[in-house]
Amino acid sequence: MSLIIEGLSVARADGAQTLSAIDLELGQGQSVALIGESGSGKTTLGLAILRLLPMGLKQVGGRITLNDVCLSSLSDDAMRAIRGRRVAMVFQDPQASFMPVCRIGAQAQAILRAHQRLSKAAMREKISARFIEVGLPEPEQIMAAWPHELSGGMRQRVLIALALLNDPEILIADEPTTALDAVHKAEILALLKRLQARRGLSLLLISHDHAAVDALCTQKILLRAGQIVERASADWQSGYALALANARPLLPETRARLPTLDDPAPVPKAARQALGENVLRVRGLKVRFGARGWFKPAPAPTLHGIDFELNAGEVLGVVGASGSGKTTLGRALVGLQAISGGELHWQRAAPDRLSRARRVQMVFQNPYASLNPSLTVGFALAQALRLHAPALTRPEREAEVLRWLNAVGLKAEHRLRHPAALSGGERQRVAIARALCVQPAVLVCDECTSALDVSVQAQILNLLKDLQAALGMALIFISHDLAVTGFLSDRIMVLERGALVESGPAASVLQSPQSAAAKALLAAVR
Amino acid sequence: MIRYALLALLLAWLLLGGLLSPHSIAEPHWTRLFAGADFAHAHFLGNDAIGRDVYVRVLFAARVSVLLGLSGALVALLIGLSVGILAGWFGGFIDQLLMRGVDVLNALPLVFLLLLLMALFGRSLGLIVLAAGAVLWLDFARIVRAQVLKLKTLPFIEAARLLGAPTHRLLLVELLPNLRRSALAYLAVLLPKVILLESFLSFLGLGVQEPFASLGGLIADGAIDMESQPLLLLAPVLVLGLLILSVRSFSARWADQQP
Amino acid sequence: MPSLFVWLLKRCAFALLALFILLTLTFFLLRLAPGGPFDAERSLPPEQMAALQQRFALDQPLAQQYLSYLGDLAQGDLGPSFGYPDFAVSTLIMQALPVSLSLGGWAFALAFLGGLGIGILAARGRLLGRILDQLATLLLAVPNFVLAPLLVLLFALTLRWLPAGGWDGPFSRSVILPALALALPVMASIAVLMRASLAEVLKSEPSQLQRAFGLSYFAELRGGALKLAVLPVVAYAGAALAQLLTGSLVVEQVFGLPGLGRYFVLGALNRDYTLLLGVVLLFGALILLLQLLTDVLLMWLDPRIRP
Repeated sequence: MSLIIEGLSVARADGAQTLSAIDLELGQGQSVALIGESGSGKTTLGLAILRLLPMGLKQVGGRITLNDVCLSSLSDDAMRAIRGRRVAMVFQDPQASFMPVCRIGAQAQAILRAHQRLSKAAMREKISARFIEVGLPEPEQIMAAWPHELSGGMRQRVLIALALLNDPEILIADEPTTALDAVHKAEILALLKRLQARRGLSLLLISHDHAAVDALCTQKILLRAGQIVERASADWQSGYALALANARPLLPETRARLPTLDDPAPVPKAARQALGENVLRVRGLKVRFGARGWFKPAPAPTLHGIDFELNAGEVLGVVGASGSGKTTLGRALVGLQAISGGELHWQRAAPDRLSRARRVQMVFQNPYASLNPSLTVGFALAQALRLHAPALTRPEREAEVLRWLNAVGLKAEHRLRHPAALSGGERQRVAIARALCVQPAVLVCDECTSALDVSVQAQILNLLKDLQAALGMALIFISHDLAVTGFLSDRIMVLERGALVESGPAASVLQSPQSAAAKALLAAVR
Repeated sequence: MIRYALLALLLAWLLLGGLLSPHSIAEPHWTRLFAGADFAHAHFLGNDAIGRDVYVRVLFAARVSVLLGLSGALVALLIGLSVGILAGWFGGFIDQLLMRGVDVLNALPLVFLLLLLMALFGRSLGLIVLAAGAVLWLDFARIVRAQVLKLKTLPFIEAARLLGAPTHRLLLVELLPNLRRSALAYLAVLLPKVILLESFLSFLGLGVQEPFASLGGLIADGAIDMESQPLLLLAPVLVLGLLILSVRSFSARWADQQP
Repeated sequence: MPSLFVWLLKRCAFALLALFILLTLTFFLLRLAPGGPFDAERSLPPEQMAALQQRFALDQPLAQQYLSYLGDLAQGDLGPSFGYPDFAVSTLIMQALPVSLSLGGWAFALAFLGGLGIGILAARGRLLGRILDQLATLLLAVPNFVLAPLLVLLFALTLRWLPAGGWDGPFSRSVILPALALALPVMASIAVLMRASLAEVLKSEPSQLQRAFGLSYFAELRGGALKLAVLPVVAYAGAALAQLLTGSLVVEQVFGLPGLGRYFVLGALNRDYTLLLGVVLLFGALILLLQLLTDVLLMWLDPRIRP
């Protein structure tokens, strides 16, 4: 069994190259990883192997050979016989991969029927066997279930089981662990390794998670903008790869700023400034949700009596696993979530909506959804200024908008663009500018770098650090990543299932965690 | 490409087609009953039962149909937009009330009530426009409400609220621009519906009054006289078909680009 | 399943409410309009006119007329027809019902089966599909009051294959042209809707995954794409029926069929209140019943919306 890719090039209709001259070899039982940031073309490569490129992309050069058969010369029917049978692909988002109106068992049977002729009973047996193989305990129950009744981790396992139904020789796994939290991540990686060993499966792993890749694959290929930058079996050598690796915050972090691609020199940490007075005091904060309706209920996180204090100029990190209530805490602080108990004592009184806005602002997690797609960047910022500084004339307002754009590292021309024309990092910068232009006393960042690539994340973290130092506001940084939080924070609070389980100076929490939750989070980052 | 050309051609004809013919829509030519096309005397499509020039009548009827179509569609759009935004944004009791109302109205054969309305209260242009709008806004209200519900939960609305924007500003500045595309797409769906509805009324004798006529009325008359002069039926049918086709081709394209 | 039962009860209550509102709206709409049912007989001397008014209770205050109509309705009595004084409205309706039901039934079946089939073929994307889609879009532009006379012109007058009018019973050749004229515009709507819905489903991630597993077009359809795509078409059934009912007004007129539509038109012209009310109520009840059935069908097809 061998898969050989020679000089593969894929381009868009307008000629822009998505992949250029890719060479790759995958033998029996081997595992190769494709690493790259978003837009590097790694998913496109997976789709190209199966000849399933989306509308608008075409293979314009090179060949793909599977077991000495050139794939582009095959007819549609012959290619269909290969998909799922010789080569199987597992897509990225288990949330959206199932037909919502069919039971799992029915969908599995459809996949079996495409390649094999089996009786109903034989099909059920085979499906059960696969489900057990991937670690799902009650195969009959799962076969009878509807997709929306399964949890995220289960869905991922079912997807892998479906891919194995026809006993393929090659498994292409596209970001199999991205949508999962730390615990499930490790389980899926272990499962893939087990399957490989037992079945002699060849694995092509597509990911941006360096740790996952190192755990599973012997060879790794780094992609950047559709081209191969480096191949390695162990440590990376090239400048780009090292820069990517270095852009991640370390534990413990000794650098004041993260090296980015355009600014790679590390800067040692300076001594901490003195802190200002108390800005916020929280006592016994409780939040309880009502019962959810008929959609699959996210476990409704509640908060049980949180106490903490925040001083001006301080950075407080809030960490926890998914479902620990950290986002709920952030939303409760800014007023987007109703509180069912406890008190918030702010230093500043805020009788109306506008003064509340000047007290605390928020930067959201999803850079794509947090900007109004129909408004230009300049217009959105001007709107915020119109509300809070109505005395400004038009030219003065324009000047203010430019000032803030520059402060977050954007240029004047960004003013006229719509969010759709900006990258994830640029959008997040706009969101930060919008939050800061009203000059709040406290800024809450809710997982605001979680959706960004590592290199972009480094830029945004540096930006936040610089701005916080310059403007002197208090910052509450919410994240599930202990290393990222540790880079920014003076103090860290650890939440577990809605309760505060540990709190203290960042250095001591990171070096000697006391609570089980903190220890687990630390292990996940290692 | 073709649709733009077709639309441009149609618009040009609607506006300037009258320059091609010297005849008026009400002038009978008694020597030309059911006559065929006669280019020498500028009767491009012949004459009808009482000798009136068919080309000019069809042109004016097309104008009437399009105008009524646009006005009716705008009325329906406005009502649907308002109800959809109110129901989707405020939720709760208002939403329940409005949506139950929409459900009830949807279940009723409104067109029959419309027919009764027209039959009993006479036919003024304003009444036709209002009535057509009142019948067709229901689907759009549902679409708007669904979109508002989706948009309402997006972070950028929350961010605007956090910045202290009052409700009216949230609705006008943040929400409305994002509904623009749906409104345009649905306008293209509504336009042919209103034109067809009005034509249907005219066919049953309940549309615009003489001496004006709409395409539906001409088709009705043409159907009666089709054995004597098939052009009387075919000409308005062709024009109506082209109009509807041209508008529908745009709506299909816009509908595909749903955000 | 108690929750299902409760849901069913709620829907029935809602349907009755809607029917009631329809009744009230129509009743007052009719009575408030200028003119009355006996305007044609203006030649009658005033005492006879007064006697007629009294006989049909038209001299009583509106509210009382309304209540007594409700009372009669509860007992199944739709009242006497004003236009055909020797006949009760229920008798007239019973006479016309089989005609309308069979015409509507044929048209409904034709529209849905044809529409679904064309939509499925069209979504495949190959040449045949695109041609069909263009044809359907074209057909949408042709209303049935245009189609009916054109069909008569072609098949009855020119080719002489089918009769131009009259009613010979639900399974005779006289049904073909009217059913076709009635069904074609609705069939086009359904075809376009089905194609758009199916195209969208086929673009979605679950379908992409199925293609990645090697399923062919028809295997995909069987594997859930059809079930998912047909949902909006099923939801359209109520509107389709309403379209067919309004269309029947035209078709019955053009082909001279003795159905309910014709009675509606005559009733409107003659201000025959009771007949009009009876027909409108019946149409409304049919649409509401169909909507109830489609809601149940939707619940069976889509497990996400079960109560």
